[in-house]
Amino acid sequence: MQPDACVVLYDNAGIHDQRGDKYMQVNGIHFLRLPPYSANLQPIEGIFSYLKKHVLSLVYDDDHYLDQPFHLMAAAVSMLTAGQVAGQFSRVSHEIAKLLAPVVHM
Amino acid sequence: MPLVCCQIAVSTLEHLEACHWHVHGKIMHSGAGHSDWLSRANQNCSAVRNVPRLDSNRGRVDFRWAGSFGFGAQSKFTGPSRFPSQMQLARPSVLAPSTIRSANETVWPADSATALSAALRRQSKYHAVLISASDRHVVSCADDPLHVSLARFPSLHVTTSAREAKRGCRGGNRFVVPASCAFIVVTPPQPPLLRTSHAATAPPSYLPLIRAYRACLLSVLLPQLTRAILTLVEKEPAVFLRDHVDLLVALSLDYHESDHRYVSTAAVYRILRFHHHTRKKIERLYAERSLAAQRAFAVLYDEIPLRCVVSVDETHTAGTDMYQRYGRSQRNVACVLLDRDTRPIARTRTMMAVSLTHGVLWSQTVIVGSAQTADDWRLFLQYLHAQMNT
Repeated sequence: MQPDACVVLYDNAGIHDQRGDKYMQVNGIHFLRLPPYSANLQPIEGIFSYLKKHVLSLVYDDDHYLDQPFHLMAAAVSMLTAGQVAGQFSRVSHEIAKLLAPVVHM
Repeated sequence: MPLVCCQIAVSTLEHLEACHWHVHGKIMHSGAGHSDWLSRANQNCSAVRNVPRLDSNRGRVDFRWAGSFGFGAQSKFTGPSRFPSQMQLARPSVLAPSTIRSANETVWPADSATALSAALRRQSKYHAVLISASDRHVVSCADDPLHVSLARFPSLHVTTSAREAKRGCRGGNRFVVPASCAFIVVTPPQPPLLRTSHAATAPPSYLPLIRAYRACLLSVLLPQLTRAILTLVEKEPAVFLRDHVDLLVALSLDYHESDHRYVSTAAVYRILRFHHHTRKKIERLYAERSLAAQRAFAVLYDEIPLRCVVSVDETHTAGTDMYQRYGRSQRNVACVLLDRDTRPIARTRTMMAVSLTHGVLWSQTVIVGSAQTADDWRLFLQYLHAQMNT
């Protein structure tokens, strides 16, 4: 469990509808929506690229995973490291810092 | 001003007419069918003020023909202009009487390569000069080959020899060179460095020029253009994607001193791709995003401790994600490619939540037929809620 009260950060996909927002409000979950078309500010976007690389490697090494999609995805998720996640958070922090930097007019 | 040397058939001059090119020169050998073109050109010339009609003189056809200036992207100029500001800037200089040279100046002796080069340099922009087939070697003997560019311009095949011209040209604008053809030296209405070089059809002697062209494309000329495009993409992404005309107009306004500069969409995307901004990436990331909204989000995000942020998103995994497309192998080891498996592969969707302190906080994979629904999203939130300290 998270040590602190956390904020769920998600994008504006179609499935993230108002009923999901209402569910989070009722259950006391803080949430924050990304601005439109700002996937570069979402840390998990880079994680998915790692995930797909792991999927490729697993299928390449053992094609029995083709018949076991749940096992395949579970194995791929387990290969994700905390360092990769931290790297993506660091990347987003740099993006945020650039946005907060004062604009210099040439 | 760089020049373009090419060989065209007399029938191809109709394309000049269609593209509203300013043509001025002499045809020494008139081919079959030229009279039809001549009559049509006469009709067009009569419709334009201050432009003399064509006339014939002892088998030689001297002509002076000018039309309103148009850009090469349009084979026929009909309706309102797509480039209004550039049109307004370009038209006065094109139709000015001072830019029309007398026909006598376009005839060069066979051994006057230096004189030709000097004459070409004196040519005003938007001028085209036809040279007879007997004098065409003068063009290749010009003392400054760097002034002869391989820039492409509309509906004309850029070549320097009749043998290459017979191969036809790209883009479906094929034509057969007749027995009597004219050579044309054109100062294009746009800097050739912005144009695509015909590396495939260029003679070996032009390879250094092509390399110089490519080097100039990315280093010499285009910093200004690159800076303008990237600035515009960052400031006005929606305008850039929805209407390229606004981009071109903005560029022409920013660089009004070079109103002849034409920026094709291909050039724009080539520059953007060089800076890793593919069209797909731009459409996804920059189409509707607002810098103001992002800054507001950044202020909010900056106030939240990173350990408290739980990033949630979903992705799909299809069969194509599971195969090595191009193969891989270690060094000096034969590559074993996995062929397409005949077994049906379930299409899965994975929702995942990550946090800085826990890494992957929760993941949920479902097999879906087409796409996930809001019910899947709420189910995921229920499981995620149990993992969060709310």
